[in-house]
Amino acid sequence: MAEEALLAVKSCTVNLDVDGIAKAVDTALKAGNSAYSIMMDGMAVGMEEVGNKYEAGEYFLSELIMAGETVREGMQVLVPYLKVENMKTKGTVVIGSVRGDLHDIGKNLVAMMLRSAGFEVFDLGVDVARERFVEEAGGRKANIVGMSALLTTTMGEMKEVITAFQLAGIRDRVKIILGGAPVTKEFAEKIGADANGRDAIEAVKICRGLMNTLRRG
Amino acid sequence: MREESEIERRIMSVFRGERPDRVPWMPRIEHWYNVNRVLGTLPEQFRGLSLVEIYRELNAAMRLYVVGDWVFGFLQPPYGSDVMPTPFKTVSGASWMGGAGEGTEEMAIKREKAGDEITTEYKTPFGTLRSVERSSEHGRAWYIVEYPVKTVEDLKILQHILERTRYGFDEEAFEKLDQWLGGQGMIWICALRSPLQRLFIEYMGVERTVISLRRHKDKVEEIMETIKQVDNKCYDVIKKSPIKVVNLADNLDCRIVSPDLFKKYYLPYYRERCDELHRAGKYVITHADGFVKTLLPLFMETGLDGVEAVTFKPVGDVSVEEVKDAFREKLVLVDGIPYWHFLPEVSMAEFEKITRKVIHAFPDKLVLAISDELPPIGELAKMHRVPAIIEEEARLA
Repeated sequence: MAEEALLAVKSCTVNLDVDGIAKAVDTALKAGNSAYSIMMDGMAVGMEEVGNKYEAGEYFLSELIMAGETVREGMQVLVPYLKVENMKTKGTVVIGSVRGDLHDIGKNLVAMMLRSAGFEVFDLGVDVARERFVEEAGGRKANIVGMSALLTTTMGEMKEVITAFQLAGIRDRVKIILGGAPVTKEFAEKIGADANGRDAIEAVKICRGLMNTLRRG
Repeated sequence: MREESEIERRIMSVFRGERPDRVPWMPRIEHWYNVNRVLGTLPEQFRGLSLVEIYRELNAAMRLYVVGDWVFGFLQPPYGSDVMPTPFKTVSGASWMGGAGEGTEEMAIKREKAGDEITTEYKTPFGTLRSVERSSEHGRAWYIVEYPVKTVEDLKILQHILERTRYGFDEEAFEKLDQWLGGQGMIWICALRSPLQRLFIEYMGVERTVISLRRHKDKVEEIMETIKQVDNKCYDVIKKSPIKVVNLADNLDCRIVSPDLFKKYYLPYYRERCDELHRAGKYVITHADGFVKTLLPLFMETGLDGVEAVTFKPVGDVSVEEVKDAFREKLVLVDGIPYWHFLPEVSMAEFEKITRKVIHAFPDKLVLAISDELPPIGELAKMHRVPAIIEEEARLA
């Protein structure tokens, strides 16, 4: 019964059933599942399948957004039952579009997918100053910093942010991942970033990999 | 009506299906020019020259885009202080891409600039819509940071505004602009985006539109129909204008517009618009500057004459060969050289390779340019190299 109810939560997530997930989550709670388990074994597993469908070309950005909305609906039911002390995050990420860049769709999706995958995400928004990246990453003990830029005029700022981390003496404490249309693997390597993600799904995979590296290190 | 200049004839021959004497080269450098002008980094030889004079120096044709009440690349009040004649006017109501015309008795419009933000407020009997645009890239670009439609209930207010929107055309302003251009290119128009794309980009933002379309489909489809009907008035003005190439300016990206969405909401719309514009003697293109792989097979069904800004790998998601196969020597490719290749980290040899590859792939159906603009840090030497490559290729052909 409890297992079945979890599957129903997962199914709502995968099928983007934004109107049905609240009831499914409620049923799963009543069936004896913990809120944490519903979140991780129901919704997060569902989101992973959504990601697979995206990679297979079966789902598109619209579906990712709707999956995020479906999870958000489910979380509204779940939040009162989640005990903060029992929460195990997969890692802490500070994310933002760099100074001068006001684009946010890709960055928002990465934040949403990371949250759904169990990461704690602090979204700094758009037009973020390099000092703020450093301050927030340091203050929140972030494992990963995500930077986004869509413009060739702002991608140069990514290097400045990395330099700011070096000057603050905390570059070796965080992994830095880049995203945005003009950002290539070569560019990421050249400016001293740890990785770049082509889309939100790849970004999650990279962040998981980076966390493994950090744990091993 | 003046005679076509040599440059114009070369460009139009591509659309007419005639082989041009050489590939037309029609890059968009306005953004590069303006950012470097503001920063004081414009190359020495171009200082003091107007944009059209720079095009002459570069041996390139200018694609002068009229975008509603402004001319692309020139920031007029309240955005900036450039003075350019603007042939299309939003007489009242909501204009292209965030702009606004005059208010009416049933709709007060207030537009204020403060610092790097412009706030627009539409007050109607149904309520108020407010949007905020913020400048970026050294004040040479503006982005909507607060969309006017926040909830589906706001769609009723948007409908009221749209129904009171009127458009006009100023022939004298067109003549002045045409004289300024002096045959060194063509005036094209970025027309109003298609209904769903307008909701995505101008009125609601992508996330809100996607969610609303799923949860309140009837209301969203109703406003899309209103947009289409109201836009007919604008297209009537465009059809009567002397402009020959109309860009539906959709900024398509298949990550946002899936094939299913495209088939349902864009294909029927494109076919209808293309039909009516063709009947008026216009050529029609759209702007597809994002990923396009899954849309490629559908472009042939749209009725479009060409597609602008398709960006090849590594920035885009398609190869030259894939686009060549999809366009079947019928659709015109406008642009072609990815902007990325103009960056300093890309060698001249690599740049030449992609340029020649694009020319060879689309011998008769190409208006060669940059997909989609020269970046402010783009290399000028590469800009100078393109006309030479075109000449070499023309000699070899």
